[in-house]
Amino acid sequence: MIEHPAYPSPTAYAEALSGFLGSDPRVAPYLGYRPHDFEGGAAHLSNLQRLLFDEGWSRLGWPTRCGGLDGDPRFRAAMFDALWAHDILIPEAFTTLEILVPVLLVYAPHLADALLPSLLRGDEGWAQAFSEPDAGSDLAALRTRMEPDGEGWRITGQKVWSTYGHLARRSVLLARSGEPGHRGLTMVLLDLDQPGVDVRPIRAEDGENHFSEIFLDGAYLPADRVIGTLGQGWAIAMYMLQWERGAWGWIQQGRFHNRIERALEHGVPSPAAAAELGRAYALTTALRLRTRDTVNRLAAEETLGPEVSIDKLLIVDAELATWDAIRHHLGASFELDDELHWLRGEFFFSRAAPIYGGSQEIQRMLVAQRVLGMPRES
Amino acid sequence: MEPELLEMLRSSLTKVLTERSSVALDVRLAELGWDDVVADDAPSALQALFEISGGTLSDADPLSPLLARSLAESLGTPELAAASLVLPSSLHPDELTSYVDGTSVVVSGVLLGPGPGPAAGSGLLVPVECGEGRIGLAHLVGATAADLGASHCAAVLEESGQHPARVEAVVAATDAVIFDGPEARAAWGTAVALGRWTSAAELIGIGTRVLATAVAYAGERKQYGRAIGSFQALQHRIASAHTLIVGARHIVDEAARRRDPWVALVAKAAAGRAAELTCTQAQQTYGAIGFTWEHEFHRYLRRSYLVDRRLGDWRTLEFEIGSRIQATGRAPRIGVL
Repeated sequence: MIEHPAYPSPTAYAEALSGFLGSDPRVAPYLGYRPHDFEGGAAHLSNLQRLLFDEGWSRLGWPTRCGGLDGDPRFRAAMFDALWAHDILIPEAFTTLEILVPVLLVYAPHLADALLPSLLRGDEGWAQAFSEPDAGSDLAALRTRMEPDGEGWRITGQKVWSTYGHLARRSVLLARSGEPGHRGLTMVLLDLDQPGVDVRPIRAEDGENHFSEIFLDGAYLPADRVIGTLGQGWAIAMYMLQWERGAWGWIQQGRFHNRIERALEHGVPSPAAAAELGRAYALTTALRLRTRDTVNRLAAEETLGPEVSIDKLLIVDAELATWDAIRHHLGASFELDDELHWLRGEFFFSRAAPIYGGSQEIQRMLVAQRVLGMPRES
Repeated sequence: MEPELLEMLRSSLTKVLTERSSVALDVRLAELGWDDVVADDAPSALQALFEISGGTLSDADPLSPLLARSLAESLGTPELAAASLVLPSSLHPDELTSYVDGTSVVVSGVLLGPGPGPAAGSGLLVPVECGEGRIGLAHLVGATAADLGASHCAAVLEESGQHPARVEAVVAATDAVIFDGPEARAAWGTAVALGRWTSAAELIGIGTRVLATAVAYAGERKQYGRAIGSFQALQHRIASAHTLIVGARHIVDEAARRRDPWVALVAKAAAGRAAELTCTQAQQTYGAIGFTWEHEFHRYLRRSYLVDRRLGDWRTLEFEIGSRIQATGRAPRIGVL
């Protein structure tokens, strides 16, 4: 654990941040903000990201060499909690940071030093490009290939479900540099604003362009943009996952707590919905305490194993239960009330919970086989 | 508590909770130096005690003495500590089924048991409604369970290791010491929270044991030439149950440290649901053999139902949690970083 000199604990920091959020007039445009579309929301919230960076709040929990102010990951978690408590949406970019920055810090220090400050501040956005049309749960089957070209590489293939893709300047990307299977994969950081890259947004079930498909036709990658070493891509992806589970789960539990309270400001409480609400709350509490534990373990620099799949499964249980309870509670307002467009949108997004970031089926298989030691299929 | 020390404690507790003995559990725990262990780290010690009690189907009853002692401490009345506690039997988690009616105490509730009863002459301790929603405690000083016609009942509970008895009786108020001030309400609230989180720990113990046994069985039992545990259909059932147990256990851990009535309520709801759904998945994993009287499974199933009912079953508690969130408009965040 790395304590921060200015704040004795993440809780003390969260209290100070809460004071800022509750009183600074520059925060007002973000309190209770409900975007009308994904792009508008991203643009508006990138201003919030810049404000939080310039005031130092979002720099805690990241090392100084990449633009941070030191302190361990618990400070970032405390910031998310404080933002939700003030009904402020977490910028999508913060989720991306949680997943990509730790990877760069460990596997590509030269890129971290050069590029992360502007990423943390929100001056540019990054995406992640892993899945392909024929490689979803079976990620190791991906076919996007990288071939040597002079000092650098040329990348050709197709990526899909790339969150933030059409708004991003660069993307972390997994490509095949060698043999089939896990061992032939390499992680890279690719500029998207170049010839040979075509990014097309995909409209999701909630009506918003959450993610994109990326077509790559000989896109150029300089040699120094390889993250880690050639063939190390799978190992890096696994390292990335442990950060994704804990941080994303923590962010989501904050959202669920907040959304239960916001939903109750509309509609009429019914006994029929009470039990569902109670269950959603209990599952959300389990998620909060589980991911708190995961964040604490990451802060203590423990290496997490297959048990992080449990975090993902708890996200699924809590996310579905929460939004099902909210829809039940709202009754016909859910369909008829224009004002509730944002709750409706988030409800439809929640249907992806058992699919995104490794499907529920894959996570259950991993828990059964790797955590509980059940036999693999022969 | 250090992991090695906790492991030693768990093995001692397993022995104490499963040995056949005519000596009261309290006395045998005292021989372990239990009071020192509790003074040192009560959350870990009590959690271990109740988890093992559930996981081994122990027929000792650690709950009644624990709650009686808690009530005695809260009320500053040491003689209550040895009394037998009559728990309310209502479905609603905060409704008392016994009450004071003019000159009588009308007792309706459940005595946990069995084992050697409390010291003769310690009486029975009954949470009672004292009119206008006031919560009190009636100490029936000279009464015994037998005097009140306590009857062990409900064949469904046999083999669960626990033998609760129903008590229905009317006792003259002159034979009781009644505490009915605000301190009695507070004392009862503290005892309920303690009872809920320790019962939640017991449910975790049951679920953990049932799940481990199901995993082991699925690795041995072969059909179509392979272990049934290699079938994804069963792996998914087991993994979903494990997820619920792990999630509930995090809340029980927090409840143990915090001793907060709200956290205890949520912990009991989560653990009850996790235990029941785990039993469902384990039952299907065992197939027909798990449906036999000979197999241990039904004993754990019965125990889980019994412990779930105690101080509020999970469906009722979920309703209670949701109702309070609706009433306040607040979903409190449990646990700080």
